[in-house]
Amino acid sequence: MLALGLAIPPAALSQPPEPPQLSAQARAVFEAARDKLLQIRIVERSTQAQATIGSGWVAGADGRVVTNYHVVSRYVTEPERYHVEFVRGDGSVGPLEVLAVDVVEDLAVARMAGRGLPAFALAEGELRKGDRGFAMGNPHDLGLTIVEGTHNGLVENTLAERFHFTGAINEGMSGGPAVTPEGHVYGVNVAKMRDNNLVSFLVPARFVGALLARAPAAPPQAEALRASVARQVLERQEKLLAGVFGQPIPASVMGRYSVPDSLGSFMRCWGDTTTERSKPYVSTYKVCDAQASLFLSDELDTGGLAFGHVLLSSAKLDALRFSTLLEQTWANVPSVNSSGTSEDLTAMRCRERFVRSASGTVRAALCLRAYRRLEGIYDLRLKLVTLEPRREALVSWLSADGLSMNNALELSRRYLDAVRWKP
Amino acid sequence: METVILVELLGRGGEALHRIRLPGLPATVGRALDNDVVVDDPTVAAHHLRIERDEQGRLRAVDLGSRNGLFEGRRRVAEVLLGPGVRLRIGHTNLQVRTSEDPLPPELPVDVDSRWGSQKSFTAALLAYLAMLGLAVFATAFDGFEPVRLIASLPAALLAPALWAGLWAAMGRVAGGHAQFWAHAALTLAAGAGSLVLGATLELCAFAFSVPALSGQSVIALAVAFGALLQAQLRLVTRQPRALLLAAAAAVSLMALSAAWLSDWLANRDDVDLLPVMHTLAPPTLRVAPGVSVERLVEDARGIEAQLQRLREEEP
Repeated sequence: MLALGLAIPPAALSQPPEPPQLSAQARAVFEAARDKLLQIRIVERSTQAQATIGSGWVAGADGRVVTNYHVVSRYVTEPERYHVEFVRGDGSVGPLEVLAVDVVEDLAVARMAGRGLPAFALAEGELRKGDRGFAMGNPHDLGLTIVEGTHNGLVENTLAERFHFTGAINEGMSGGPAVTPEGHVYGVNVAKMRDNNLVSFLVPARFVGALLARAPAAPPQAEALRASVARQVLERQEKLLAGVFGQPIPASVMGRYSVPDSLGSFMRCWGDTTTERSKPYVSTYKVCDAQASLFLSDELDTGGLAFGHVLLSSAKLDALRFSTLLEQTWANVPSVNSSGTSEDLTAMRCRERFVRSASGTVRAALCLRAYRRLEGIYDLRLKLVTLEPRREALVSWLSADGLSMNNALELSRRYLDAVRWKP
Repeated sequence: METVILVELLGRGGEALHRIRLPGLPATVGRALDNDVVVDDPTVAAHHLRIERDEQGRLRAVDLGSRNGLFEGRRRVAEVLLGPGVRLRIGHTNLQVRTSEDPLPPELPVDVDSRWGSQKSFTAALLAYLAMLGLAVFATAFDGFEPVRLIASLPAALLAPALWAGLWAAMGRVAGGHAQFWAHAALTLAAGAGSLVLGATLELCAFAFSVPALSGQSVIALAVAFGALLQAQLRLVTRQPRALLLAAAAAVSLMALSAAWLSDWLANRDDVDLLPVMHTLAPPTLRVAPGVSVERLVEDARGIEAQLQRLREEEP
């Protein structure tokens, strides 16, 4: 069984893939790019086996290489376990040293030995929707590949600035360049949308330029690299919250409560009301998610921001059963899908009180956890439930990751103040 | 008045199987039919033992040269003075000699525990148990309360205590006492009701006075009720001293409590998403602890920083 299973892939690999119907332009672009393309491997030190593969490209004649942060994240998180190497199209292998990373834009700059290397230039000027683009990389370790696609401008309603590329970017092509017909890099392959056709995303080249400009000439210590990750997360969240703190939190109405609403076009909100006739209560919920999460490692994301409310109202239930109904909802929020294990994060620690707020007396709990490998970063979970003898009660929660302690507390204060009772 | 002298042949638990009144002294014990006390034990000699008074008038037993001997406790003796509490063994047979001169312990009151066996206490325990069970079902029936569901859950709710009481009744019978099934059943139901009442009281206090440590601790209520039940049931079954039974019951329920806490801790220690927050809510009118300002809660939360720093320094 095992021998059979192992025998198949090499046979499949030795079959040359169907020659794609490339235009003559694509052939010319690839010919020009071939020597500047790399496969990037993260190799586990003890077994010398590859743990992650991705793509990269030479961005400077002095040997500077660009790829995605998520391609080299294992090395950044655990440099004692992994090292980074490149493989050229001709099969030659060499070591790579990581110089700088940008976790927010998912980019990394590394250095390979050599001088006067053939290198890509960054594109100047903007592409327009409908323009032709060519993404390159090494999908699934199948060999260097070029994909012709269509530039579809910036993705709308997201926090991160990404180009929408209509073309097949697959696993392993991450970090590879997307070039104009002239062969200039205008974006870096970063992701595709699962279960969708040809919906792929690129990091705009201007972020590459910024990272190349600030990357040091010599590789920093592992701790310094990790500290820069923590700093970038905190700066991103600081910027995000500056927008929130700069104005009153937008509000909408749920029942007779005024509750926080979408903080901007980057937030997606959903809601619904259960109206089962057989139940003696009505439950309405609303959830808003900033879809702001940042990839830190295979096990850990950060930067997420979401909140939600559940309004429970009943004219039929007595006080006892209404409180057990509330209790059940209260116990189950916040309902966020969280990443990270006890290797990455500490346990939650909380403060909980009866609090006199703008919505009357509430039970409120404020919980925080810290990151084991990153200094000064916290995840916040805040929840409250109104405790007034009313026929409608509100359970509200907030979940925000990757904050400084001060921002976590300030956000909590503003959120608690933003839940109001409007008799 | 003439002294009455009895030889009692004892069972394994020390209970008297036969009582033979001696016609006079000296008297003999053995397998032969001409003895005053005939013992049907093949390991006993034909004439094994003589019971007589010595020169000073004290009662004594003398081995008549048997092969298997005369034992007082574990000690083989040729002769032994008799008195209250002196137990003899010949072959496989245990016996003791009692006289009307021996001091008699005072009359004991009718066993206090037997009041649990009365119909009245059983009915009261059953009603309390059903009432608490009904209240618990009602309180969580926020999707709509249907009394018929209560009836559907009754057999299971009653079967468990019945099986438990049956087990204890069987043990009581084996230990040489009485089964006392209804007393065991009444105790079990009362303990069930008690644990529900205590559990609800803990939750209410946790909410009213804002003491999270009391919340989610129905296992404490369960352990206390179980300990009390165990102690009461042991008293029905054995005659050991009360303090000993109490210690045994406390030890068992403490062990169960620690095991529950430990497994809870083991299950949750690696859960980085678990919010250690009180789940209990009660009707708002039952709140006693005052509310603080938003500012105060947020300022309190600043103390979490130091806590988390300590957690970071520990190994994951």
